[in-house]
Amino acid sequence: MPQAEAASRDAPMIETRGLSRRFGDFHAVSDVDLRVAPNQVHSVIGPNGAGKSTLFNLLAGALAPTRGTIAFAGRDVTRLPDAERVHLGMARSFQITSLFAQLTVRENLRLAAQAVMRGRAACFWKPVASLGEAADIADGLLARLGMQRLAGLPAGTLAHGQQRMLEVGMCLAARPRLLLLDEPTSGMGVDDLPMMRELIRDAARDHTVVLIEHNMGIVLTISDRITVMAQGRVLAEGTADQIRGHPDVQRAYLGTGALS
Amino acid sequence: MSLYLLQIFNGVGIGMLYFLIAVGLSIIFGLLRFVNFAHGAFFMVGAYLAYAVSVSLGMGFWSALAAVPALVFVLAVALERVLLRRAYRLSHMAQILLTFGLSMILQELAIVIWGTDGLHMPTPDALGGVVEWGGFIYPKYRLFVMAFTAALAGLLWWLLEGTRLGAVVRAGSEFGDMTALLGHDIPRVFMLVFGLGAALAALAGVLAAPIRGVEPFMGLDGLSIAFVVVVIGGMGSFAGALVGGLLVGVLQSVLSSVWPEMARPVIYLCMALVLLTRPYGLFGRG
Amino acid sequence: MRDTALRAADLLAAPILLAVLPFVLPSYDQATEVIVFAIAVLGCNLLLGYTGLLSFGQGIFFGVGAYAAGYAGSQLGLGLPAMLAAGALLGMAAALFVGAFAIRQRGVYFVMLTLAFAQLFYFLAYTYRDVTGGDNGMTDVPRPPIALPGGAALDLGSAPAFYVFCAALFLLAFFGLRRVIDSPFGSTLVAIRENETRAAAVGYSVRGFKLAAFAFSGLLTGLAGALHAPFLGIATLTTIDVTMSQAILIMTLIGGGGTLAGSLAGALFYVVLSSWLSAFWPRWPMLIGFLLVAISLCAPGGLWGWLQNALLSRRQPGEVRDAAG
Repeated sequence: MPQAEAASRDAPMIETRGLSRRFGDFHAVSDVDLRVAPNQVHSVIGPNGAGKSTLFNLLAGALAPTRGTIAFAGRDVTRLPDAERVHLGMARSFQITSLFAQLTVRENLRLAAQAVMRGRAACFWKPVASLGEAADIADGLLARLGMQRLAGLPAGTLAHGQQRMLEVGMCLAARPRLLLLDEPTSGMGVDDLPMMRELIRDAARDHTVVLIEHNMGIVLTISDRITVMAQGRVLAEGTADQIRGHPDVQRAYLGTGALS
Repeated sequence: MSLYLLQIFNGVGIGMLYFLIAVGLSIIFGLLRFVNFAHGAFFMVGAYLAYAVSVSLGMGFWSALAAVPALVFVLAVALERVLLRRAYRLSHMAQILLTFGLSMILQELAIVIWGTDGLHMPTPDALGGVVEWGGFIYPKYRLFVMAFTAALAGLLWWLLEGTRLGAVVRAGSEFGDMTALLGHDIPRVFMLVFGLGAALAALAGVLAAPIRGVEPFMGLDGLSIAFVVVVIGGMGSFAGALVGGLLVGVLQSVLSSVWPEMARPVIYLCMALVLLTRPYGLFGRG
Repeated sequence: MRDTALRAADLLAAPILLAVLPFVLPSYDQATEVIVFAIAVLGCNLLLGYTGLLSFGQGIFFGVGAYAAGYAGSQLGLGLPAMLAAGALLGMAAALFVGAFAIRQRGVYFVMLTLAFAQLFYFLAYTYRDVTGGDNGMTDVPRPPIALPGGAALDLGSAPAFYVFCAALFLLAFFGLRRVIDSPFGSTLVAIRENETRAAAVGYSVRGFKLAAFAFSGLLTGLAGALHAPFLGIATLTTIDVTMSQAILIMTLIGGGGTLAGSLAGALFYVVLSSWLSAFWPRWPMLIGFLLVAISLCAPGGLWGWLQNALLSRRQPGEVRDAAG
């Protein structure tokens, strides 16, 4: 979906101001100002407990913030529930695989595609097959993911790496503007990583991608911009080169050379 | 004496009994994450055993008050050990069906032994009659119930907040694995807590018996009311069970004079109202 | 493949089963009773088997349907179609009311709420005895003949005639429900059952769908109740008490699945068991209790695949607290 690059260059896809979330006395996310430019891959990294997942859930709408605002493509979505954000063009994947395990791979994708077709998804008198568009999208994604031969298998029986790919696939099925990917490579074997990297890179051509990742290899090679979080706050932000050499960031990672 | 004042007093008394039933359910779910649809059955069993001990065996009310909760404690612990422990790893739906089936079995057992008609349990002689204090006239037994349950509530509060066992119980509900690692015997704690919850419900049954009589369907009634109290007060909350119980009790009692038809239904409507405005209950933590 | 075979079997089995039923049972009346409850099972199964919602409140909709039909027939003098429509629609209304509240909670709380509402409606029916007849019930519920175009009338007074009528309605209900299940709406219900968090994350308004499922369930269960009233000629408190909710639930658990045979089997089992056993052991519900305990612990597999999955499923990973409350 080519957008008018000049017009959208100034309008961020995601913009948060003072975004905070606390649980009792624990401040999971404090005062985060985040700007994600459209059609970019923006990664969020940080040591464990930095608040990345909480930030994610706030962006996706699974959690409500205790302070601050979130704007999506210029529109305030702070109070909008997660299901509604999908209809605006936001899709998220889960860090711990959450699929419709008993249903087939194809049905998982079809359901994800169907969800955004509001009225037609609620239709109760026509057979599912009549909603051909959702099925077509599912089939298209099966080809794109290279999973055609897995189409009829229950999603829960797939190998872990394949399930992670399917997670991302389900996001794509919603034909969103923004992809929120929560540690997509989590638990994936080294052999599967290139496939995921290519998928994300491919997706980034037509979508904005916000990525939480621990795998520095992926982060540093595909990110246009990186935000580093620690203890609920933004520690640093910049391009891969800027982050790599940043002293605070190195300290936050205990100087283990994890960034090299 | 003013009718309203009388009913409010009645309501507090009933409300404390509701609290006793609800707090057991609340603790059991809050700690064990186990759904016990047989909880009301313990209430019923308590009442029937009280009848058996005090009337059938002729041992009197006070023996029943002491013995019945202990008996039910043992029964509940045995059930937990033998049957319910297997259900912890199952889904909530399985637990519901299991305990509901259990409650049916217990209810039918009660009917087999005592028949379907309600039984009358007399108030103990020492607590018969009324107290007269100026213009204030009130049945001695109901005053006793209020005082006794209030003392019990205080004891429970101390147990939960002030003792090491209570701390373990509270910790176990939030950090089960960690608490186990620290060396506490979680299954044993669960078993004891389950027994305690059941014993409290049974105790409520003993105390309630002279007031409302004993009949086989009081288990379902107790369970439903416990649910309402817990929804209103908030699951897992001691204060919630107390406030919820009192609220429901007073509301029900006052209405039974003012608008008798709605006395029963209104508590459920109250529950619906709370659901609309505060889904986690008055004191619930999300 | 297996699915298509099952569906074909259903289609063929339908007329055979329904034709045979009254001869397998002692009377047409008992066969009618099975059919009426089988319709209620359809309603319960939509919630339990397809949406994953365990409702202890099906008796509410059944009873409301019965009283509504009874009132329409005995007090308002309306014809049978109007009686049935009243029962079904009021059953749906009751379901929307209960659902609107119960759906605000998930899991255990949801189940608790359905039970609490069941009690509410029971007490309301008991209290407003001017309308419902209280303990005595709403008597003189008619079974008026249905006026046909051309001046003739379909007389349903005889047991065989009413049986055929109910069986026809059952088929209608069954295939109507099938159509709903096979629609995009139906596939969404399954998604909600499988992984509610995921369904919401993918963009479904879970609450809206659950409420709609309730509406359909209420419609079907209300219809069943509306048939029950003219069947017996009376609408009593037993149609709306918790025991009825229990019974419908148990029939659904036993029958299981989405097959025609399954819903008939569950109703058949319960009706036959209760009438046969109650003759010599009034405390036969105790057996039902044992059955529930057995089902929950042993989770019979195979035939009741969805039940097994429901009973053994663990909490979904990646579940995040619902921001919308």
